[in-house]
Amino acid sequence: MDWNKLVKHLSDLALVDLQEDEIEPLLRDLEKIIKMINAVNELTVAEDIEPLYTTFFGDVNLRDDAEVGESTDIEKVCAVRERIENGYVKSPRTL
Amino acid sequence: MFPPQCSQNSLISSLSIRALREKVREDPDFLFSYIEEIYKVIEKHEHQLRAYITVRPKEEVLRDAEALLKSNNLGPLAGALIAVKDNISTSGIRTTCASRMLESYIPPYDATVITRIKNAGGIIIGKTNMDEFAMGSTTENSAFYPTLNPWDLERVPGGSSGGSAAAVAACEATAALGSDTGGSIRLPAAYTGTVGLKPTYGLVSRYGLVAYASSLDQIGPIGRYVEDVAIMLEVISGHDPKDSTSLKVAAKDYGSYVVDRPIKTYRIAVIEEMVEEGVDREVMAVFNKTLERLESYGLSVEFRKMPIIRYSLPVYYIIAMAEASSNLARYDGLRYGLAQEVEGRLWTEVYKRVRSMGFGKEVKRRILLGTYVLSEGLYEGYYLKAAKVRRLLYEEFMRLFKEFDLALSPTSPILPPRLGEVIDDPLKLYSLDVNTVPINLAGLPALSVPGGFIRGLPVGIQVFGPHFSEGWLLNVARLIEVAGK
Amino acid sequence: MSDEVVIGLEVHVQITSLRTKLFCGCSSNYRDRPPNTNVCPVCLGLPGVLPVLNEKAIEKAVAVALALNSKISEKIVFVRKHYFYPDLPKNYQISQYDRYGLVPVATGGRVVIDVGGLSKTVRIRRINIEEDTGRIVYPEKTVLGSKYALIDYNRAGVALLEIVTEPDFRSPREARIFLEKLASILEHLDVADTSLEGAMRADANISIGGRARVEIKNIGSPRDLEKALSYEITRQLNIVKSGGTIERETRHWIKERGMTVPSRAKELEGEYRYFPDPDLPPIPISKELIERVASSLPELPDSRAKRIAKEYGIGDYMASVLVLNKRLCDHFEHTARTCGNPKLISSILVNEFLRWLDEADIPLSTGILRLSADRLCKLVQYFEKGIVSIKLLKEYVRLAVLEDKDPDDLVRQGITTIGEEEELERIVTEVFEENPKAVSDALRDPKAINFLVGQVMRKTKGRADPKIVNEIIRKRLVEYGSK
Repeated sequence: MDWNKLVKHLSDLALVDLQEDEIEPLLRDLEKIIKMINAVNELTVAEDIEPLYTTFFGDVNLRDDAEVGESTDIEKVCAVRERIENGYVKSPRTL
Repeated sequence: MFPPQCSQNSLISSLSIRALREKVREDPDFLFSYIEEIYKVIEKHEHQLRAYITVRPKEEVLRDAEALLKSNNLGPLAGALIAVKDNISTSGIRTTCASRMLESYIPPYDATVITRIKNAGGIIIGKTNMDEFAMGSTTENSAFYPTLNPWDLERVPGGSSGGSAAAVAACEATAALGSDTGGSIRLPAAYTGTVGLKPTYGLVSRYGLVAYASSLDQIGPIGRYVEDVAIMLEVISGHDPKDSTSLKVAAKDYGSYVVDRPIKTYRIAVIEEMVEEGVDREVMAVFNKTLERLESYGLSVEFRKMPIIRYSLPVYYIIAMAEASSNLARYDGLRYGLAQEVEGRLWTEVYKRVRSMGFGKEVKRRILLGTYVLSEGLYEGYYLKAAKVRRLLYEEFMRLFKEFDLALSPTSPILPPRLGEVIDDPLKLYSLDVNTVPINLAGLPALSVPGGFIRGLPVGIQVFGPHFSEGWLLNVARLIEVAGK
Repeated sequence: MSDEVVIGLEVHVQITSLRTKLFCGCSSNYRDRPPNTNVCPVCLGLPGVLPVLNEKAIEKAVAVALALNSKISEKIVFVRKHYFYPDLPKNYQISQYDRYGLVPVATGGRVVIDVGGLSKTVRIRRINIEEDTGRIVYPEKTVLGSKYALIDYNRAGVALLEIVTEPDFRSPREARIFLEKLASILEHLDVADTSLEGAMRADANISIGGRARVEIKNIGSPRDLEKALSYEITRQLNIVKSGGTIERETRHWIKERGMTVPSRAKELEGEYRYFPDPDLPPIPISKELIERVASSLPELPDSRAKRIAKEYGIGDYMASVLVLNKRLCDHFEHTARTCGNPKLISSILVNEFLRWLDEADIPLSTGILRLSADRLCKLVQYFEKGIVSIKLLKEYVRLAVLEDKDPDDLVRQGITTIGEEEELERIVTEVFEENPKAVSDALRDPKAINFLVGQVMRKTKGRADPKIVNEIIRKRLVEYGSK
């Protein structure tokens, strides 16, 4: 298993780069952690067991289709003035 | 029994919620003296303890006290100074999640639990330290600084709600709010000799809790006394329309369960896998003593095997890391949080910069691993499989609680570790949660209550039960608390 | 390889009939608002927020599933679809999926369309509910000229339905006809007003002769769909003819330039890391709900076309054109019920009204205001009374639509048919006197009468009834001829 390549691929997917001093410890521990989580594969589980994605067993809350409240002030949220231009949020280019 | 920080005028600084409320109702001006006392403790000890990330200025809190007294709303939390874990949104007060990513983020809204605390007469005194984005078990993963254990300043207070637990233990607050995803309330409660409760999943609204693993997270109270935790729980629990996973139930009168005798002749289970090798001998001694005391009330204790519980840690980490990688995707620095120059760059480049600089080591690790288990071709083998095993575990618990009312275990297999002792070995770190994690997977309620001391270090007893059994848990916790006196 | 064209569609429609967004209480009406003034912590994706589903969205989705003959799932299951993009506040979209036991709100279904008199069944693969994104604009108007982008989150979180077809289309025309029909169905269901800007967007997948599949994104109307697909077919066939190969890719339709261009954004299909959204447990869709929605389902285009053809005696073709647009059809029925003569009204609407809207690019709603039932009825009456000829009637329609003129005003201005024989006789005399040569031509060759008719029309500024003018001139010529 090429751990370096894996970490690079995951970095690109999650848009998280490791700093210089983080790479070594992660590579060292990665194998251990993946081995730990692989333990689930020791168990054979019947095909028809339904996965449990939530432990909420009540009536899911729904919302009335009625307008609620005022709009949030984007300037307040963004706090940093340079982030807003004419009411728009500045963002990097996508092309 | 309180740690040294509390003993300075401990009669005032260690007041329970009820005692404080009664005093304030009797003599409103007392509230100001109380606030002065607590700030004295903070002034003296906080620089060492570092339980807080943000302490509100005393003048502000005094102003809030004035407004409270004027309003005549001396509800169940009248005058209580509540420390809030820094991953719970407080409008106008910095909420950092102990991360550089949100170092200067000020939310424009209050979490539902905060609104309820305020409506009950509580005052927010500050935001407490934690493991970054709640990922950790010792509060050593905070991007700012670690919190120390008030009982032994060379040891950790546990995590991720370490700051809340330490603040309560050291009388730097009346009570606190924490969050629990795999043990993050119970573990620090155990290590600091306080009481911490994780409610049934869906009992307390998650609206405003910065998400770590949404299907596991719950907000819960931490207090010096079982009764305080019961009162806090009553204030914060109950239906919230802003949370799709909020149960349509009203809060119960949990205080009425805090009585000095068993309300029921509980049949208590002990899961063997939770007390076998790996648990410190001294911790086991305290645990066994607790069992004996409960038996002396006429309660029965039986041991049961539950082999599938051995898979809790891998199942937990697969699910928690997957959900975490998703919940933390939103941090890109555009609307809030750490900002980076956007001009002349592609979005992928900017996002990478923000996220690489803003997240700490453990957070990055869990994001990468979470991304890994969800990726194409691996979903079935990891997340889906883990969810199936989760179902099996859940059903095992349901079966157990048909036969028994409650279960007990040591909260942590070991005494509070020293700073730096576990943090560099991930598996060692994760194993602190071995007894607490299965509870979150099944959405069950659980609490940790002090059971005794070993060489001056607190040992916590975990009490857990079926959904909605918080009342019973508090009752049994009270019995344990009484026995400890 | 053959050159058979195979096309499939993915249509995204905003549920404009909802008042609020899908998961929060912000207004769904985001158009024409200053940027970032229709947002809240939830749709901004602030830390700690949670989604709560709009109850009405379920009913709307069920209604669409019923109308498209789809199989409705037992539960609504939401998933998170992950990708990083500035217009996606949480960097994941709450959507639906159809693998690993996760289901869309409905699967299967069909829509029958009429292609040049032949019936064709288009199969539906699935229907999803999902949330819309914010909008990206560029400070320097063009993408390449700007050093950064600007985002408006007003639209983020608006409810969308994604309707995916099987690759059943064999021509751009079929795809267009389907999209028009779908739009009409959604309108009749009161689910979406597709005339609103951005309310309906289509992505098309096209493969020619079994070659690689190309996806075309960003198509905003049925007409654009046909144009984009036609362009793409030509483009691909040219490549093949000159010996090149078609690569699998994603392209964008640029309306202003009438062409598709390669998409430069990276598409990471398969790395969306779908998993069920833990903040939204599955919501059961009860039989009672389905029955309730089914029993109160409004009249759909196909049934309506049958009914109005019969009820108003206007013929299947007219009926089918009218039902393509609910508001147009409503207008027709309302007017016809008010003043009768449905044949004339339908003819005016289909043959004249729509033409002017199209040529001058006037929105239907404006057109209906200008050619209101009131005005339309007046026109019908004036025609029936002979005050206007058919030619003048058409002129009135044009003036109403293009210049918002009321028929009464036109009548007052004297722009009526001159039917009075006396007046016309006088004018014919004038024309005869002014054009002696034309008269002799006409005497010799009856076909040359048209010149004289034309002269009379010119003098009357088109207000004369040409039939009557013709009559008078013929009679006069006969008189002359006999002299």
